[in-house]
Amino acid sequence: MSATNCIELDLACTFAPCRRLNPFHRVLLRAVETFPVGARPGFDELAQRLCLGERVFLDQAWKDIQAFRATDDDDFMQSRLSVAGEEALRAGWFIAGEQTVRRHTLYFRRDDGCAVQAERMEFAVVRAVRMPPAWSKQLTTERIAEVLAAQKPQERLQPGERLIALAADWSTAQEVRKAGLHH
Amino acid sequence: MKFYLDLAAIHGRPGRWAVLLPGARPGASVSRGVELSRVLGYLACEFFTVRKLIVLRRQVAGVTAKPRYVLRPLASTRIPSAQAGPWLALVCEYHESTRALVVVDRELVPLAPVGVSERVFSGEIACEATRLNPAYCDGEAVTFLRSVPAAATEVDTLGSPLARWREYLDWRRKIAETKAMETYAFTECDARNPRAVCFYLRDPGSAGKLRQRFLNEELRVGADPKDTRAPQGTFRRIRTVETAPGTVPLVVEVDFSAGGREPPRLPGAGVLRVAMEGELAALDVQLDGLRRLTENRACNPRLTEWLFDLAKALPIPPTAPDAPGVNWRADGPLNPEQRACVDRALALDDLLLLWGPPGTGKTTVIAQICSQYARRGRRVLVASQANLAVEQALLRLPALPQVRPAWVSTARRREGSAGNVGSYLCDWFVTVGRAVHGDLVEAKTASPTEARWSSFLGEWAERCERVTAADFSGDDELFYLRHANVVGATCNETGKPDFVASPGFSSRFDLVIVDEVSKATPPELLLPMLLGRRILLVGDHRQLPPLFRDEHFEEAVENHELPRDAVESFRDLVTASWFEHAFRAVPESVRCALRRQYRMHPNIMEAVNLFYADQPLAAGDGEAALAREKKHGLQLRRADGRAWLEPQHHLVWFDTARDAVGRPARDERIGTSRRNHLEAEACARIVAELAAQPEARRLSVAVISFYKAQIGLLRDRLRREELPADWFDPWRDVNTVDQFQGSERDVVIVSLVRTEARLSGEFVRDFRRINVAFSRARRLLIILASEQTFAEAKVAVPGVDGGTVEATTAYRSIYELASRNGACAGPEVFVQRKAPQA
Repeated sequence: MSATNCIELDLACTFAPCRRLNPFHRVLLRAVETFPVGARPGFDELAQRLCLGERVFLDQAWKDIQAFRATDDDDFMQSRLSVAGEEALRAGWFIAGEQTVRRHTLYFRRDDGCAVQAERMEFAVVRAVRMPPAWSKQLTTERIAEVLAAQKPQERLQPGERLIALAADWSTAQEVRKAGLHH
Repeated sequence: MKFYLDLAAIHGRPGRWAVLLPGARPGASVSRGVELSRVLGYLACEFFTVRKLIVLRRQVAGVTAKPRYVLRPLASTRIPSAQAGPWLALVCEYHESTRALVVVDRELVPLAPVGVSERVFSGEIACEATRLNPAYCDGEAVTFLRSVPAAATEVDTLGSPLARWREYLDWRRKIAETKAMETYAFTECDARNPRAVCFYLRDPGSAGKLRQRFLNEELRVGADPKDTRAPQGTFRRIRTVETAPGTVPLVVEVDFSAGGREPPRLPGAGVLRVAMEGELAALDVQLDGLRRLTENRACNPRLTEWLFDLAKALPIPPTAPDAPGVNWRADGPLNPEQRACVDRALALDDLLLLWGPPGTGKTTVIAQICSQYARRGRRVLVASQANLAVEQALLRLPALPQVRPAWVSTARRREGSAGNVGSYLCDWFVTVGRAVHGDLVEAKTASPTEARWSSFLGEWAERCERVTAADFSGDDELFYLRHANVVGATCNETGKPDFVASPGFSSRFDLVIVDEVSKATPPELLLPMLLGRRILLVGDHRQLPPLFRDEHFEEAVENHELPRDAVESFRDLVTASWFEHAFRAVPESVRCALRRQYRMHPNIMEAVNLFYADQPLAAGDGEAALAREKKHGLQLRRADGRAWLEPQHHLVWFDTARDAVGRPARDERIGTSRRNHLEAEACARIVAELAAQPEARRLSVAVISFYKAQIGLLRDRLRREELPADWFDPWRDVNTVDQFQGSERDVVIVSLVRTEARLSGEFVRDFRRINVAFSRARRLLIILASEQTFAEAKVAVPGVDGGTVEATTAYRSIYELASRNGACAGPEVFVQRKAPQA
């Protein structure tokens, strides 16, 4: 570990089992988005235009979409994308189960926000953090998921599980340095 | 007519007993439900030890309706309270040993499902009828029974084969179980050479017995005898080694290098045992298939009627030229005889047999039939004894969105949630994407209102073409599998509980196609047949039958548990081609044949035609076109620079009677197999020289032999040549003829091994094996063989339709063809000749 001071930050991580959108889910959500109510083709026409031969794949995909509440109506012809549906289309996956929140304390270099492997290290508190540093905006779910995967193998995600939300508690964050190091 | 039944007389006298109900007469309109119930109830009361009571019931829905026959096996002695429907006579059989009594409706004899008939009619009914005791049946009853000998014969053909098959499978299972239970402790393991790891046995016992037990088997080695994942290798040999005075332990050599895999970690001490898990599972599946047939659980309700008497299969009506669906559009080129086969497959009700010699486009026809069925919204199962044929058929399917193929394989399923279904799903998406692209191109001139659709579909097509396996979950793959309309699997796979009763997956198919039928045993064939409403069997009985292994039964014979005659009968059962018999037995309307071949150069075809003399193969689009298409452009030179193989040579006999300096060559016996070092060396030199030619690198090459030991030698020798793996892999491209059936290559080298002056044994003179060996090559066939050994060998070649068997000197004829149209050479081509002295 370098002599640079670190920020010790508590994070509330929300995990959820997720399911990746398969091409049928995506095409149905795109159909809801593209064709307005009243001008929307039915599953039979859609299956024919998409060269699927049978509508059974669309029927199944629509069942999944309903289960994930990705639209505001169960009737395909009348539905619009819900927030969850828009998010699923953007992210490429659905939330498919109960969410769980787990808290983690992570360490980042004060100057550039680079994550620091700090397992089994002792720190001395330098001062409390008054303002979140500029790099705090870079703490995205994707980045924290990577840090957790690298630093906390015991936190290994279940198959299909994803980190879907993140809340950093800056009120308790503090600047620390490795015990014994002095500037 | 009187009815008597003296149970006291039956008891203690096992045999067949006729029980006639009053007024029983074929075609008579009787309703004797009450009497029957009374009789059955009486029997049940008297015979409280009766374990099995099977009642055949004839149901008639209306006066004019066609009767429907239902088999109802009753697990206990519980008797149905009211029997509806007319009943005729009954025949009972009482087994003292099994305490089983079987009751059959007499009128149903010709239609009796096997489960019943095999018990009741395993003998001659007519003969039994003469022994009927007038005390129990009056004269009219005796007359009645005597009037049905024809029915008895029919029933015999139904029940007897099935009983024989069950006996064969039961024996196989018993022997496999014994082998699986036995373990052999070893105290030392020498694993320095993974191709011959030595295990020193603690209690050696008899080397001969062990050899018999291990021969051609895979052995598992581990510390725990029950570990089914213990390392597995192929038995090589047993030898004795004197380690200390007076102690001569047995050493078992096992090859762990098969398939080019990494040698496993082996324990220093542990147990050896024969790996029988796979075989036991396969036998269980086959026995279960027989059971399902006897319980009439076939998808085609008429299967039991025609299975052992194919003449009873519904004929395929000739299709009128103007009938709907006749002018179907083929998804790919078909010749008229191939089109006729597809026509029949589209019209069939029960059964169609398709005979196709090598290269005649059987797989093309199968793919076309699958695609036509899929276009009509029907599901097809493509099965074969081996994975290769299934894979080939699925690969040839036309890329159409309506065709959704999937290959079901347990071995692959172990690797992932739904095996390799994911790759078929991805391929199907690519096909869908291309079809959408095609539609969009055609729709370019369409109205501007389509603009929104165009953008939407364009995005979809692009996404389809970019899908990867990661886009789908295991559930997605299973859902696709459930809706796949062309499903491929091996015969045994189709009998596994996973396949037959998988939730959400229907194991009932509109059409079942079984390819390479001649390689499958009837119990194997039966497994997919049970799942089809219609059956198409494809094969060539002039290729190899299933392998029969005498050694399986040797110990049982030696222990006097099984008479040798029975083994011979089992051999006949396995190796006699059921397809051949069937093809001859069925009427013209349920069979078709392909005779135009597209695989082999005409010169190679000429050699293969020796085995189709009465119905020779014809060159697909004419000999000139085929010759043009099958050029190889290769040239191999002697050490002195002169060419010994030119581009115009397509059939080459490389004489290995003598080595390069004229010494006679000798082959060597290895257990029951043989090998020939000279041929292995010559083969390696030829393949190495081919590898050096840019023309050859564009062609596929294989080396095959009749003998397993020679395959081992060839692989070892060819591995040393360090050939480019993407072009030639000794594990993939060197194999026995039996294993290579169903494959083809541009260049095929056949090593015949034998060198003795007078060829003995039937193995190398089996015309089917020679036919398979020589019909694998598309452009160039090189035969490595001692001309003097094979020239006089007599090969029995029966007529295609089972006519006269002709003993021909087929090898000599092939040698002569090579001399005339191809080339003859020998090992001297590798030697630089000394310049003649001035």
